[in-house]
Amino acid sequence: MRVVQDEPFEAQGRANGAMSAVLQRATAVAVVVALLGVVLPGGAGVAVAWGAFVMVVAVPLLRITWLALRWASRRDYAFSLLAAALLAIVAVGGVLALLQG
Amino acid sequence: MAAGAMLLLASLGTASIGAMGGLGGAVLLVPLLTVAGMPAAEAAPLGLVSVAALSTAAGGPQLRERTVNHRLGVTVEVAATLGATMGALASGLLADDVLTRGLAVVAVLAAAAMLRPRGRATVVPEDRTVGEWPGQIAGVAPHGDAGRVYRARRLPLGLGLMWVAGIVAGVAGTSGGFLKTPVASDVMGIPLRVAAATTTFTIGVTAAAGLVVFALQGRVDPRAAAAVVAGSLVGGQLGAWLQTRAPMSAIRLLLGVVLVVIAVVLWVTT
Repeated sequence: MRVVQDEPFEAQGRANGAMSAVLQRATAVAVVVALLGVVLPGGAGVAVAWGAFVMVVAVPLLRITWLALRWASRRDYAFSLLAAALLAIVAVGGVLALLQG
Repeated sequence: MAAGAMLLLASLGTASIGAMGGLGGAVLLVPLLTVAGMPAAEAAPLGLVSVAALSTAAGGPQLRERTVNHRLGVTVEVAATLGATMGALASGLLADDVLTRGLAVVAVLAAAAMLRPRGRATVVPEDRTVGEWPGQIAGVAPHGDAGRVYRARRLPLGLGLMWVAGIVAGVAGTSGGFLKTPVASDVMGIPLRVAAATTTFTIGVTAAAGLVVFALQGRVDPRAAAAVVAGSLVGGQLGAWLQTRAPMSAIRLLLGVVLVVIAVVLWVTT
């Protein structure tokens, strides 16, 4: 069970490039959604504002999920497990916050 | 609407200034909101929103430069996120004057990080491909036209200090990046450029963990959060642009002095 040793060469460059493009698009979309959340009146504005909030919270967590899957696919299981543990800590924190009320 | 516009401008200004000094906007935004009369418990979630937004905005360019070490980031983030979640949960139980005084201490720590002298490491560049290595916390950092091989050291101490940085982020609503970058570079031996880029990635995760807690506790005002998202994303880009055109030492000195003044105002008005 050997870690796939093709990084840091072409595969990492492509992966970073793809993630970079996703983050840049997410930034542009988040700016527009957030501005709409500020200017739209009533319930629609509040719903869109929640959308902007969810975006900035979800992006880092999706990035960790993507890393966990990518490392698992390359048999880098130790770091894949660490990424999964990180997501589990966030989930447990959410459950504790709900219980705390 | 007027309050939203004020928040947008405040987050735009603090993100611009904070990004110029490589500090992020929250460490200025949260004290500013608190001095303006907002309870620290309400200002903290908005600070973390600013952190998460800036982390997303800065991620694209840093990934293209291959300066982020994701394995380092995920490893230290397990400790930092644990701290941030514990801090966010505890902050709901703390009195507001305790949170405000804690914020004053955080501002002083950030000022110290701004004002401390920066040494230059002597390294021997090698002709290596820049990036991180699989299966270990190591890699090659950019160094001029070549690369510098690095490997994380003193991991247990580094993780312990990252946990402390996470608690600071969860309680005060700031990024804790002013602690994380020196820990990664000075304690763990990671080149400063990789340490800073990896910190930018990890503060977004720390902020997201804290925000999940704050949202489920009902402590997030969505319209205020949207204003901070817009202001921080635009301000962060503006600050990064200005950073390349202004003298770095003067910016850091100015930020350090401003943070000390904020700390004193927070402490005496509590």
